[in-house]
Amino acid sequence: MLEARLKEAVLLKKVLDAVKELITDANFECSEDGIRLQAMDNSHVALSAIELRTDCFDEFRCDRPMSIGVSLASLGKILRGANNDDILSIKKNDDGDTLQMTFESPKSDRVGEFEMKLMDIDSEHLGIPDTQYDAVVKMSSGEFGRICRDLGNIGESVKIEVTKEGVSFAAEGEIGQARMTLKQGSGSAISADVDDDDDDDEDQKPAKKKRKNADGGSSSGSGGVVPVEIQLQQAVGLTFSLKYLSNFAKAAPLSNEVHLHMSNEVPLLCEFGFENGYVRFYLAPKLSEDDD
Amino acid sequence: MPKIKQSFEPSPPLRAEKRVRREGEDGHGGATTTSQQTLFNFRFGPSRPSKPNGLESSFAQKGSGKNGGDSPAGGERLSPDPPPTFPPCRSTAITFLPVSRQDFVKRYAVQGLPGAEVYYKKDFVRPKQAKLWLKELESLQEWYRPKLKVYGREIQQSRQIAAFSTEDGLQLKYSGHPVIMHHPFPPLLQEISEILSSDDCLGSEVRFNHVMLNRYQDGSIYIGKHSDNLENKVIVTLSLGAPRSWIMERKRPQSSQKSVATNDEAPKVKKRWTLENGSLLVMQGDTQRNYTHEIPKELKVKEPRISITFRQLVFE
Repeated sequence: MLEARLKEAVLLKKVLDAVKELITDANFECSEDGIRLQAMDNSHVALSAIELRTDCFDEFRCDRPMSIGVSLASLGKILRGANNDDILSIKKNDDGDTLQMTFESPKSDRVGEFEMKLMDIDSEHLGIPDTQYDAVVKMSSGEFGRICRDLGNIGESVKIEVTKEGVSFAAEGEIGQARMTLKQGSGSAISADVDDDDDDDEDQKPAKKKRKNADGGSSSGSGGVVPVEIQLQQAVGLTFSLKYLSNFAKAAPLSNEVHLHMSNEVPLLCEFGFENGYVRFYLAPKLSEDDD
Repeated sequence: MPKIKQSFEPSPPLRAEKRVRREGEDGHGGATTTSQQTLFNFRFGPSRPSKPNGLESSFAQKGSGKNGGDSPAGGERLSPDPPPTFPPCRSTAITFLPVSRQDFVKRYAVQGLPGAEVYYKKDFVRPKQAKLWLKELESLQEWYRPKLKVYGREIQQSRQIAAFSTEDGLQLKYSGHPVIMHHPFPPLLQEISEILSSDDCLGSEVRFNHVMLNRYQDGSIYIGKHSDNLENKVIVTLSLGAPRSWIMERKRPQSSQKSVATNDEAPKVKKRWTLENGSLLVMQGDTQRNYTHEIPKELKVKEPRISITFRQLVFE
């Protein structure tokens, strides 16, 4: 028997939004420690890993480990019926093949009850090699999303280079090339504007506003900035697909910060941590032919 | 000038290959080509108990070659003995479908072979990678030379073969002899099979449950004119190593078989080209019914070639 209660449905919505472009179906592995999910995308280039520890939930009960096979599209449809601040309860019997979900409005007596059919997904636990990373970059998740979007307009791949001084993102395409450099310690406003229109005028306004914010803001807390922090064993330079990175950036609402863990010729670990859980993405690099 | 190349590299998303110019960097100053890797190349994936047949150790070596060796900190990044990983096996309920993906079919169709459906993609995998695969496959334990009965005499075939199926119980006869079939696929062949069945290559609906390796030691080893069994809906051949000639010839129409494709007085159709190192050949439709194929002797060829043929063994 699984019973779990989330104070606000918005957490599950954001988690789902973070991975729904990358995975279609997956098993939610439930145990007394919480709920986990791991899956690769179809082309085996990216792995998404979710952890929601029991403390995410107001109440959590899972008598024995169980694996709940879910179509993320179905879950998305059902979650559309929930308001962000609804209390979300999920329940599954040991032998049932459906998941019961209840949305309760905290202010009114509105209650929604949904039952989702589950899938039998034959998947194995995926091994992730233990890796010591040479470089860890902490930065604003909103800034990360913006860079991915802007460079995605230029080319398909981005070369990320990390040195003691800062981190740079460079792309090249048919129309030309682009490079974004963030200095160590420089702050970026935290608010994500990933979903802005592509209209240039509109893009500039929020950016300016943010910069003002950044000047006067404190270094932590909401409304503040996330300074770029770099921990470096050795300089790294890696090339990744921008399509995937842009998808990862959709997890930005979960966290003000993103941590990029990198070593040369090793998959990137892109982590969005939040209280009592995380969404992590691993992405295989593009390697140059000269390397092999 | 950046060159965008559509390619079925073994690491989807496969259109990702393109030239990236790096300026004044590493002393190159020139252009390098990048290709998207998969996580399997980095030992991500399902963990399986290791088997003592040496297959997985050869796979593990391949994996460590990427990270270890020349880069100083490389070897230490991975835990000392990470479990070998490889792509997940697909479920056993396979429905067999031919290749229909328009991008592939339009682009790689071989012209001038009426009544056949043949596709040839010269650069399925980079020559360097193909050579590495050749080496890895040569180290398999399962190679053997089948004994054939010809006119009542038992002779040993000049080609070494090795055959694998995705599951137990699949059988195949080969010139009247049952083929020694191992299962499951070794990791590398599973990996290649997954690449073929990806949406960036043949399409995910095209799946295989059998693979046969043929080793042509040098140009003296050949295979005579023949057609494959008609049960095969799709036969996909990946060539590794020495480029060898490939001849397809239309069969003479038999009286019982006057179809639209083969008119009574059908002109002779014969086409010859080279199967390059790392190339992919797909035959389907009525190809086996209407054509023979062969790989002739070429004594000037001194290098070995391994062909990997993926098939769909169907029993009805």
